[in-house]
Amino acid sequence: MSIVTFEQALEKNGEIGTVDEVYGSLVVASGLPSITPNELVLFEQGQTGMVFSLTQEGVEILILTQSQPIQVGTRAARSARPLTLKLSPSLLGKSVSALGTLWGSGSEIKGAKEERMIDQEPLPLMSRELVTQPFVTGVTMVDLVVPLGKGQRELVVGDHKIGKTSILLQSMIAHARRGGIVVYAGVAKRSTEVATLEQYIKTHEVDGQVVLVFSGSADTAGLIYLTPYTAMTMAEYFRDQKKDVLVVFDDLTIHAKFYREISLLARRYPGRSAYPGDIFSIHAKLMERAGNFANGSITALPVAETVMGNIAGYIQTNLMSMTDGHIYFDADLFNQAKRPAINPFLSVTRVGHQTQTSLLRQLSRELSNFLVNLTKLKELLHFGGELTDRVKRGLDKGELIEALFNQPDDLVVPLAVSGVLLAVVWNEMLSGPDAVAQIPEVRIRLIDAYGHDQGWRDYMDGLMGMDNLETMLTKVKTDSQMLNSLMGLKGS
Amino acid sequence: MLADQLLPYVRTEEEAYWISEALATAAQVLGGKRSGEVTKVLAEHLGKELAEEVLGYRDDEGEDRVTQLKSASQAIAVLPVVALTVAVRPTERLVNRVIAWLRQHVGMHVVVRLHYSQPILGGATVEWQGRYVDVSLRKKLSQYIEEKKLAEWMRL
Repeated sequence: MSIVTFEQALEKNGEIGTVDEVYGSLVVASGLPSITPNELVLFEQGQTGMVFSLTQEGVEILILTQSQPIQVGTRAARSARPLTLKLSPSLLGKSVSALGTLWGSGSEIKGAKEERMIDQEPLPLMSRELVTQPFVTGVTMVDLVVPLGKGQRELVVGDHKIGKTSILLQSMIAHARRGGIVVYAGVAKRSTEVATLEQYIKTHEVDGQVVLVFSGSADTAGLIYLTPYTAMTMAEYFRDQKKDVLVVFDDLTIHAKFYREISLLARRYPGRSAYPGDIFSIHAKLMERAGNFANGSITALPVAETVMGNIAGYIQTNLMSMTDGHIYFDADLFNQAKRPAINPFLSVTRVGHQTQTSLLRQLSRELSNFLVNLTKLKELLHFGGELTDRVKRGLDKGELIEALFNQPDDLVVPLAVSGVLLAVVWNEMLSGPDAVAQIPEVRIRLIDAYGHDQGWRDYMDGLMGMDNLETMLTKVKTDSQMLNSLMGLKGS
Repeated sequence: MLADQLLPYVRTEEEAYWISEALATAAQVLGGKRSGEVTKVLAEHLGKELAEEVLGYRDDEGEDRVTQLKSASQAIAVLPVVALTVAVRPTERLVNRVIAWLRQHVGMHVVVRLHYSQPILGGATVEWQGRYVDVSLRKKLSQYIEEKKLAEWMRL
């Protein structure tokens, strides 16, 4: 965004306004007769703003950058252009602000190839295509039970500090490693969170594929409000470069709170929970920009925070209704040391299954049925009845599958490894009292073989490429000696 | 209207503010007084000259004095403002000339907000109803310098 000075804008456009009222990050100015909505406004002391709305009383301007507080009587000039972002591939590997300038220094990105308005209309229906390609998150539970597709919008919902960000980071790493582009929007983040995230991305050596867009908790409400839209504009830019883009909004409940603040300052009539009437629209117009398109895809993972596990909150249910499913994090599961604490029964994926291969679909169905039966079985156990061998075996298998789903924060599991490991567990190739304890080691060995040995990679991909689950399980059983040897298990 | 009668006394935004305030105060004080005290009250709040102007005003619509004062106060408070920035400290003569010119060319019901800014060197900048016009010497000079630079560059 090439910001001209106040004097230049005044000379160029010949229109001036005066600030009459100041309400925190929103000001009302008179004058500026030809101003248009979303136009960039420059103030005489160097502050910038964006037209929020036009009323009979004057122009409501949302303050974006504020070197010093704006006072009544401050003069404002039109820029005669909407708020735009300068875009270029050099954004990759950078942390930027909601205005597209470098995070921290505030300087502009060099070598800009294109300039786009932040507020864009979503592409029309004719440009959209069915979601057909799977989106691999690297999280076993998500990839097997709640699968996602490229272009899907999946809400990640759960209480504070429950592991939502962890699966987002794993998904970002998995997507970047597969050659995709990731745009992360951190809404009102603390500086320490920004630094941690930057470090995480660098440690996993995917910084060349990732753009981090941040607004700080001390930024103006206007800048915080813009953050997800900036990230989406960047995602659209990379999509138009024929890339598959993952865009993460962390998180939209905070975004909604800041929009509520702006709306209340603008004296909009408050609705449910004091949110304005257009709170649905501001998120829906953002989500609508994601999807699968002819030249690329934008997969959106918005985050919503719940309070005491209440998923019936206003913003949370709004977001559920405008996404293609949600991954629900359960505090009870978290307290049972399940990581990730995803509740498979309350999580939904509306288009993910259609992207799966026939084998994965069968696997997913079997697994879901098994998990339902396991839950029922565990409930019946409370009655203390004597268990048959079949039930005991089922419980043991359940325990192993739960261990399989338990995944460290920084571990990305390839889909083929998740599938093969599940087949190993399903075939009861892991047994004995220390079977559960063996899972992490076995998983690491499989990941290592998949990553470094082309023969094993081809073998595992071949297994996952089969059409029938029974055939695949039989094949794994047949090759058990070879697999046990790889996994370092007895019986090799 | 009384406000029109008082226009020669209302030249700047500051004068408009004070006269409007004085008329409003006079109207309030006058509310409970006998007619004999009117002259004294008006002179006290508006000054002798302005009080005489008010007293000399005859209304065809038969409004009482208090209503006249209130309407005039309200009308003067919302007079549109032309903001003018000049390079020299405005003298009384300059203010009179400026307001006379403005009332002739812009409209009878305007007042002027005068700023003094040495950096513009000469001429003025004008702000009126959200429009901004820079006819300062600084702008002319910078345009001249730019043109000269361009000419030199083209000669090279």
